[in-house]
Amino acid sequence: MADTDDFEFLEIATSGSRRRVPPQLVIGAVIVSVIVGIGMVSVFWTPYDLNTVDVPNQFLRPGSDGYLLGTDKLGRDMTSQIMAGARNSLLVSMISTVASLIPGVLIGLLAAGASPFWQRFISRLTDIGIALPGILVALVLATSLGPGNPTAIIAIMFWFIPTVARVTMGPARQILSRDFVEAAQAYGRPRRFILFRHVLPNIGPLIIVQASVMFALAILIEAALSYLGIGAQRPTPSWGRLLKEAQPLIDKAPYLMIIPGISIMVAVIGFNLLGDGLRTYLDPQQTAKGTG
Amino acid sequence: MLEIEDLNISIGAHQIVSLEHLSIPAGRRLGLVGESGSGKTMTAMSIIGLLPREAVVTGSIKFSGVEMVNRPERELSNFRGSEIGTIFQDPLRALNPTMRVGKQVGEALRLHNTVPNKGVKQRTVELLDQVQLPDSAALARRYPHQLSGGQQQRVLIAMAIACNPKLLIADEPTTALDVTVQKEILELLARLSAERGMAVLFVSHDLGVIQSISDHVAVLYGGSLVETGPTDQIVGSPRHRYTEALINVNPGHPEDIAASLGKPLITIKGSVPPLGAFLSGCRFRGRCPHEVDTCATEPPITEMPDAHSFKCWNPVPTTISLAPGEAGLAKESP
Amino acid sequence: MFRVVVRAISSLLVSAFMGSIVVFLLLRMLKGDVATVILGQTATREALDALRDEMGLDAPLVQQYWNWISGVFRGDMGTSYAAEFDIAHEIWVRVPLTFTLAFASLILSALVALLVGTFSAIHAKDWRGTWVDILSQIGIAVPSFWLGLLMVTLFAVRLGWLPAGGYVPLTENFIDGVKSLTMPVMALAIPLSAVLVRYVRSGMLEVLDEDFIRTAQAKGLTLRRAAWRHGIRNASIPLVTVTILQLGSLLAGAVVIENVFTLPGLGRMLVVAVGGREALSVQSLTLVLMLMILTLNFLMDIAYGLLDPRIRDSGGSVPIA
Repeated sequence: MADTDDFEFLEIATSGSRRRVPPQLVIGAVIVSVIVGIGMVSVFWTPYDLNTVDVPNQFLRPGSDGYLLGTDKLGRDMTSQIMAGARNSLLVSMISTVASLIPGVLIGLLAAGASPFWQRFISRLTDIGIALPGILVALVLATSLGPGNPTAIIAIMFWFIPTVARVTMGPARQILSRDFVEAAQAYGRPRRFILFRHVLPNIGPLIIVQASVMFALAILIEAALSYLGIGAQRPTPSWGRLLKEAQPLIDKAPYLMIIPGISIMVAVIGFNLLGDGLRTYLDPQQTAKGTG
Repeated sequence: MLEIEDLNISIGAHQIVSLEHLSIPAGRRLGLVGESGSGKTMTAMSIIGLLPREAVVTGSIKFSGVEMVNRPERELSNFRGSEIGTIFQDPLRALNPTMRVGKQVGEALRLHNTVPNKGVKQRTVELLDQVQLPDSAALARRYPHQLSGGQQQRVLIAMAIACNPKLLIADEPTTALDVTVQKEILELLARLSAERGMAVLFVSHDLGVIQSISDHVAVLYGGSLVETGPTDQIVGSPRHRYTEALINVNPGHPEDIAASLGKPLITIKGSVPPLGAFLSGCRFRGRCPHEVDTCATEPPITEMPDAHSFKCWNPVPTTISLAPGEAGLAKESP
Repeated sequence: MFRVVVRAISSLLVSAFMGSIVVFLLLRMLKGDVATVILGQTATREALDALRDEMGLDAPLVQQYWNWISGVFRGDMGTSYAAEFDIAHEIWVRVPLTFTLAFASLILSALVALLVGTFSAIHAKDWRGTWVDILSQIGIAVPSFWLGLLMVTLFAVRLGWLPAGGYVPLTENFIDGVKSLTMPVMALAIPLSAVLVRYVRSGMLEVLDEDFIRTAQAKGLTLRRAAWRHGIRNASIPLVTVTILQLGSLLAGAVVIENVFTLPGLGRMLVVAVGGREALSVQSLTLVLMLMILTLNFLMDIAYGLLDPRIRDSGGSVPIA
């Protein structure tokens, strides 16, 4: 019988400011929309053709006439490449995130409803999946599949599916043990019906938050893979590959390295803030905890 | 030695405690009693400045003539642990789980340079002996989770008395313990207080516990002091209607349990209203079965002989003795 | 404590076994034929058959797995097809560098996270806490290899303080060795510590609400000193859990960073092997990297027990609320 005494008062005193749209959410949403917008525009229009070589105009500094972000060593326009890079980055991240969420959530849900033996078995498997980082899997896959966006996507999925399954399973089990679920079981509702009608909607917010965090991570992994030469190859544009190409030139043209890096960073910050903001917005009790 | 005047504690727009006057002379034991949310812990913690950051305190708390209200943390920490010892409700949580208990006791000694560094270990063992812990030298090397609840509380007491404080604040020190252990701890506290001439501020929701240890009792309701006086007077002839109700609620001591079996368990109707929901005037209004029209205005303090005072418009008459369950208290089955 | 160690070792072995199967299957299931992978699509039938024969690829999968894994135990991982070096030896000499890189980054980022996280928890409500928040948000988003490139530009190209790449073994010349590892370790540790800081901060905020912190204050410690003396150890316990989850990313990061700084470690070897489509090397390299993750994981499990006496007594189950 714990005596809560005065601490009840604190609850009351700090309440009232809830359900406010957190600033991270706004900033994140703005950054994400701008990047998505740029990516979409790049499908129809970029200032210059992406891969047209124009050697006389090589190594133009950012801000040079007609070239907002300058040109690379073959005179290709950086603005156009950054715009198209956004498209590629978003596409790879979106496909791998969505394609991981569906099987991941399914596995997590079914595991939560399964017998303790299966639960332990799946936990063990997901442990190994998580211990095998995406980049390693990508390198293994690239050995047999060769480099390219599909390799990157499959590798990211390999890493994300266990994570999603893990993130789904715990809370799903908690919800399964709640009263209203037991009530539904008593009604004679089949297990699968309960999982999808009662459990899934309850962990929905969690999955949305997880998705945006994974999106950010996918952008980072895609960049790393392209940097290592396993991701997108020319002529497919990619921020990570721009960094790879810029590395030998860092003393001559550091801006070629700085601009794609900043692009990656801003995109990742955007999705992370979105995730943080959604977390705070969807679960007011978590306000003080900034864990990612 | 401790003088509290016009103490007001508020968080945001809510006033949590408002006390006119409360004092503890040196070496005396005062029991502060009230239900959950009465502000008793806040009052006790305000003495050593351990309130939530948001709390705003006005008024005066003088300890040995030194003003404690709004003193900077650095200066307050010189009093904490040395002049004023504190023990808490849940002993397991009040101890650091990752530090050996002897080291935790010794820390207080080191902090206030009570004994030279070389003597800390020996003094720690002595202290553990004084709180009647068995095999104290070996026990000092154990971790909190390896001790029983009673032993943990004894460790906390050893820690609190390490620097010979003039005042010990005991915040519900027995609530989390078994009944038999409770009694031992209370006896230990009473003995230590008597031996060392140490004043004790004993905070509890349990009037029975308070009765067994304190000379004086102060009854707190809704952050306001409703009645204060010598223990036997408060228990024997309470004047405030809330005190009266509290006495009837108390199921008595373990040895009285047999006697209380079969009698209905009495509770006070309703619960302490949430903050800011108090009616004007007497704060017990709404739950009090003896309400009169004047209760809507703030009741005056009635002083009686023997330092007994109370704040009630319609006090319990002194001549009539009370039978439990009378006076319109709601009867509920547990 | 003994039970904690036994438990950690058995979990290490089980994970290593299952992981080796995953790696093995990954290389075989997708396009089925390691020989084609090695020799390329244009190879002649005879060449393919010869290679299959040589590598025992016609044997059933279980047999192939056994051949590989028993070889690994004997220290025989085969010979690189293109460069003709002994794979096991080549891996063995590269392990110390990659392990040093990962371990140093791990320790550095955990320490930084503890210090900065505690600081920001104590100052959670003023501008200092906000700044730590913003910095960690940026730190999380910085790709470690880009950070490496930025540092090369500044410290190697512009200022010339540190070498832009290459590695001097610590045992050969300690000072030069430290110099060659400084930037790689920083590039790995900064993003990782940014991730960890947020956990330390929220963990420490919870610890600061604990009763024993109030006890420490009642004893005469100021909040700040109570946090450092009593909070750090308790806040490090959840940090260990989070760090375990980051080990995979850490090793992956090490693979990338070795390529930024041309460090002759396992990551560099792996990327070269992938480029040359050396299935045998890739398979064993991945296994070794995975073992390294699991070993660090094991060390973390032990650290758990050392940090929390309650776990030592209960034999490994974690009583953290």
